[in-house]
Amino acid sequence: MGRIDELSDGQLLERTCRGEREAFGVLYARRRELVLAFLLKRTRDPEVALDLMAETFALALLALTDSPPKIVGSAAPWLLTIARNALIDSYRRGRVESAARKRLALEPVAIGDDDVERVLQLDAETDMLLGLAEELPADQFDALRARVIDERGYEEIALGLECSSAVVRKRVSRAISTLRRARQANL
Amino acid sequence: MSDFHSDYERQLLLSVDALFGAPQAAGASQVWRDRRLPLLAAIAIGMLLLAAAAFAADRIIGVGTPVRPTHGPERSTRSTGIGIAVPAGKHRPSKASLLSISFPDPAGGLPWGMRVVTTTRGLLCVQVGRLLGGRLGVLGQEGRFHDDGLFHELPPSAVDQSTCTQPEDIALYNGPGLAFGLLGPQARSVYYRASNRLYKMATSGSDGAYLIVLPRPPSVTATGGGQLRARVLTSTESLSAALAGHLLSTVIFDVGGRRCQTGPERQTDGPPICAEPVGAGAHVVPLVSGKAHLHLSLTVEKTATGYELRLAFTAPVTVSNASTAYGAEYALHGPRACEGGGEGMPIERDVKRGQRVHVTMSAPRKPGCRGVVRGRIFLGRQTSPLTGPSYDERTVGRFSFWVGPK
Repeated sequence: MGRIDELSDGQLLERTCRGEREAFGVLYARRRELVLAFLLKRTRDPEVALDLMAETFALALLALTDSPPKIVGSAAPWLLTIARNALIDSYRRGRVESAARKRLALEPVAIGDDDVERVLQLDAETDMLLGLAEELPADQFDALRARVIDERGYEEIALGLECSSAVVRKRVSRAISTLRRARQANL
Repeated sequence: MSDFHSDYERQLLLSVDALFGAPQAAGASQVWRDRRLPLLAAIAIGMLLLAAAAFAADRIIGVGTPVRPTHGPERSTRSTGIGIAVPAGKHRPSKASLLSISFPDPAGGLPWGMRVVTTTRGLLCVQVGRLLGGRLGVLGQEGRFHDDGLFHELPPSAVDQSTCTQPEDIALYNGPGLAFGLLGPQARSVYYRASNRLYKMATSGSDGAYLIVLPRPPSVTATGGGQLRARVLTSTESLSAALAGHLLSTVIFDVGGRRCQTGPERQTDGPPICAEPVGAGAHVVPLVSGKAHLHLSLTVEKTATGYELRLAFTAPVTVSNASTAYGAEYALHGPRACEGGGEGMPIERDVKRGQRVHVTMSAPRKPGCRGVVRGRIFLGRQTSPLTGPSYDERTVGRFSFWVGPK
């Protein structure tokens, strides 16, 4: 099992399509918090965010049967796109979308107090991210978030920020230095 | 101890078994998957379904050949016509973005989506179709693709020039049960009415895109055919009037951090009416020096039906996109019965300053007519792609020749 944990998201998706159920389990465990944080930031409601996160992974699973995405590294952008669409559909319909879960005949899962507590903890971490945004210059924050939180490659970030990968590396490095200096100053 | 994640993960893994657990012959399944949705997967899901009808509407659909770009005499290239979709470069993402719009189909079919394609000649072209697995396409129905019922991907290269506009313009497209358009970067949301209910929807992307699909009257086909009407505006100055008869009732804009609304139906709980026109772009026609020497030459040859005019001129300024164009036109000045036999021809291509441009036009010969044909080369702004320069015109050269017996 240790080996499957080391696979990239793209490899996990490939194995899922070959019927390896554990592969999708690893992907779920690896990416659920990212998707949850993304949805929580936009809904500000732990239960709605959990509900939408569940729909997101059901949609992802269905998408694999329709047209498996060609993902080489991180599946985060793909999952977040699905999450965003689920969120938009839900806003449009005035209720949390559940069509994908119905298609898969997934039963509703009860959300307990502990679950909400964990989501709120994640919310605090998201707030920490927002705090970082206040401490760091915008270019450094964008580069740091893309690299550390979204786990995107330097080349991919460079494309998005319209600069070279060397510049991205420099910005990430400076962001870490800035945070280190701020932390030492507070000690 | 059971929690949300472990319970849900367990169910997801069972779904993986149901969807992908059946053994497949590797070679056969790959080809088959490209052409048609996996039947085994469909059966597996179908067995689990509680709502089978909803499932059938968008799962039992195959995939056909992609839509091909239009080929013909008006075929565009990188530097002519409307241009071609800006391809993704080594260090540049594609400028053909599928918007995060997924509008449910009122008939329960595949949802509708929208893409904005930027062309090499600076136009924004809209593509509207159905969404399947993150792809935009059209369905083979109502006369398209021999009614094969398949999903045909609509690639960015297959843009329809009738939905291309200048990036500064506001474009509204309206057909039976279908409305879409680009309201500009300052548009934030739209209101529309359906079944006597008011809906609000955020615009999508940096061009203020919107898409609305409503149930169509029974007599109307899905594609709408030529019933799609386009209105192109240069600012919100006349937007309110243009929206009369359109599905949109109000548009909310953000002007310098302040919200305002425009449209035929004022939202009482909304922001104030937009005081200034929104979205007015800078339409600049390059200045032509009055002293520019055009080096215009004209050769006239008699043909069986009239004359062939071969013009050549040296471009005084550069045209680098479809917003401006050179044009050539002529008219016969003679007896009243002979007048009106003019012709105009837009020169729809990029032209560099100093480049020699060649144009061939034909002029019909009217029996008994004689007089002077006077023509000009001019430069101006195009109201829509490929319509020819129609305002802010500047004449950059003139020509004339005699026809008929002297």
